[in-house]
Amino acid sequence: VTLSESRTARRLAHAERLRRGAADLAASGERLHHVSVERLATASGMSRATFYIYFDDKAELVRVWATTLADDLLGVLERFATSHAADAASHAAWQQLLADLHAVLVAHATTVAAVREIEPRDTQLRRLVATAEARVREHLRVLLLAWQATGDVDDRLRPEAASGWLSALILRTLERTAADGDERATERLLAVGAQALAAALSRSVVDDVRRPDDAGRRASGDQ
Amino acid sequence: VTELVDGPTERASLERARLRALLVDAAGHSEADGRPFADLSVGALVATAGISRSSFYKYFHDKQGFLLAVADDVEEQFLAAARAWLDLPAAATREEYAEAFGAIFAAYRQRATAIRLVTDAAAYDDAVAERFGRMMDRFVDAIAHHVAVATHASEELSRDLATWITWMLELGQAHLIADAAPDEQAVHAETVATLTWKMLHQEPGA
Repeated sequence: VTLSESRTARRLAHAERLRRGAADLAASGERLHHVSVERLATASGMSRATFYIYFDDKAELVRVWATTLADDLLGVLERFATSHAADAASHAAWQQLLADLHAVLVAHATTVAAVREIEPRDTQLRRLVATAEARVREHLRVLLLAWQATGDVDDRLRPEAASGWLSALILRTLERTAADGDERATERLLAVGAQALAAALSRSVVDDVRRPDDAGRRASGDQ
Repeated sequence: VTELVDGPTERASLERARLRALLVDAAGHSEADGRPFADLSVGALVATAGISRSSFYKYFHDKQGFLLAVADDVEEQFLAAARAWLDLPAAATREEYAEAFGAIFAAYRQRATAIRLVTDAAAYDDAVAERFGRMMDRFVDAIAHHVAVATHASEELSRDLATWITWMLELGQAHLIADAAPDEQAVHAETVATLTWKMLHQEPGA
């Protein structure tokens, strides 16, 4: 173990302790932006001086948290991509993916809130989030290409654009449900989301007009 | 008589809208120069906008009041633009969806900076967060109504599906539409039309 490796490990351990401290403060309604480094360090059982051994400021600490969160989310997505590279994901597979991503976001709820709070003031954090999202999109783009090649996914969808919207669909709603905490509502929502994903990508198309009776009603001006 | 009563009020509301637009542009320029709106003083903001401090305080209580006014405007404009899609009948075609999303994205681009200021501030300002939450609830309600009409699904199911679609549009537009070139914008309208149309009309499990 080199000196720099052990420093990296210590830095991560301190980031984790500070994350638990921030979670305690958040639970009592204290927003990270308004909390001083001194207060955060004390709540995490370390001194202000120790904090500054490892981090320049709060924004840098949040960037360390965000990197861990991004690694975990991308890990889930990589496993999904590996097991479904050959054939398109079923409704059940999408539901599992949504549930796994949801679990990661729940585990990192403090980080998600901190990232959203600090992001508007920190361009480095903005870039870090953008890079992570670009990697999510890239996984989805490659999957869409593969699934179109096997004939499982609608050819009319352009993978480049569709991957952006699918990434937005998945990440943004899950970010909200993770903060919400209503388990029954979340379970129902994830099932609906999986259904929506399977339907949106599916190759078999009911053509562009829905049903003859609807088309008839429409033609007669009945809305 | 109406003119006597409404005249000054309407002039005031037009002036408020004019200042709001100038201030949103100024905030956008400041951010492009690396000065986040969150850290901007009212003094710096009005100087960039080229308006006087007293004009600002005549129409807005403070920075937060300015953001709440921006949120009111954005909500009204986005709901009006969304009608192009939401008022389509149950049997609307995918092409009609694509045309509607084209119009929605064009409206979004005009207010991309304004909505970003509100979204950013919602992360650290409780009053703005509450206002932003109410705005998104209204979008979910409006989309849920469309889903229910288009699919005959239950209220609960319609609302869940509308939640996914609303937040997809919120983040997707911020990332993909705000800075898109016109031809990219057309591809995105086509893509979102295909995705949402199939979410609503594709038979499950097919």
